[in-house]
Amino acid sequence: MSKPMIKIHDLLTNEIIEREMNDVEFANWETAIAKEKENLAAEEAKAIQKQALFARLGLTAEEAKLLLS
Amino acid sequence: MTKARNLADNALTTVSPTELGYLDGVTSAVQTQLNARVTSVSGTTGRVTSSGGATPAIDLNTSGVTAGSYGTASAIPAITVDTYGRVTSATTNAFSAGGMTLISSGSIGTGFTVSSIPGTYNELVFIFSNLYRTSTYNSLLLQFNGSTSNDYNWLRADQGTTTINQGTNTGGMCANYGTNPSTGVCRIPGYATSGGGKIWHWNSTNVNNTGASAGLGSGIKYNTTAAITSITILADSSTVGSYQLFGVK
Repeated sequence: MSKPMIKIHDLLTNEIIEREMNDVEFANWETAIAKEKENLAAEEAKAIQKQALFARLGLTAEEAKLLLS
Repeated sequence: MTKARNLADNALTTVSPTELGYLDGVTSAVQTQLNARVTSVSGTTGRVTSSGGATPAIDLNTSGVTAGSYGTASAIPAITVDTYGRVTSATTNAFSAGGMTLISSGSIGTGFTVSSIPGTYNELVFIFSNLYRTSTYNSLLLQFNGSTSNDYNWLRADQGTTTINQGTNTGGMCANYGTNPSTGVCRIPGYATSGGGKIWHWNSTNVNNTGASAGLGSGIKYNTTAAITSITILADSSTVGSYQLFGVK
């Protein structure tokens, strides 16, 4: 299976190389993408919980913000 | 005189009609024409080279310029032409305007690295254009100096209008506007200095997302103190867009 491509622009030589990621770069890419997906999922879950809490309290997000300001 | 005439008469009797045809069209003395023939070819040193002999040749000297195409969307060609119309020098200069110099640009793809970043600017500014996602996930991951541990940062490319309120620890930031496609901006101040004072935090309390989507915004976090000389952006394969990196003085 081919790996994703990466472009490297060296500003010192102005050389631009575009190639497949090597094993280390690919592992880093997979880890980074997975970590960010986890972050995103956690934040979305937190936002849903927050909306549910607002609904139970009968407050809008703006009202809650005003209350806590 | 008589001997010469006899010699000519004898020669005529031994010359064939074909050989006589070689002289067909000659209207002046043969010796005059022989004297007028090209015996050598010369050229100005440095501009042309020449060779004599039976088949003289003339060649242009090389100008010292590497053959190729000069100039791109981000590099302005600088051409020197001499009085003979030859290009004697061809280079490119980075686009610069209002203290901003475009130092790198291209499509984001699944990732790119800008390395050997000179420390000559006050800050770096990324502009991400036409960001478009083809799945529910798309973020741009920023990594500094090849670090894969504690320096994750992200710019979410599709969150609706986002307003970022800077907190006391937020010296650098990313902001993102619009949805499919959207435009993102990441500002990286003080990148060239080492030591303390360059600690940026992403913190949800510093980010106020006024859009309808669930994301809480975008931020930047850099918890090490070394000067930044290399930036890597990683993207999911569902992300489409381009980037421009400016150095700002």
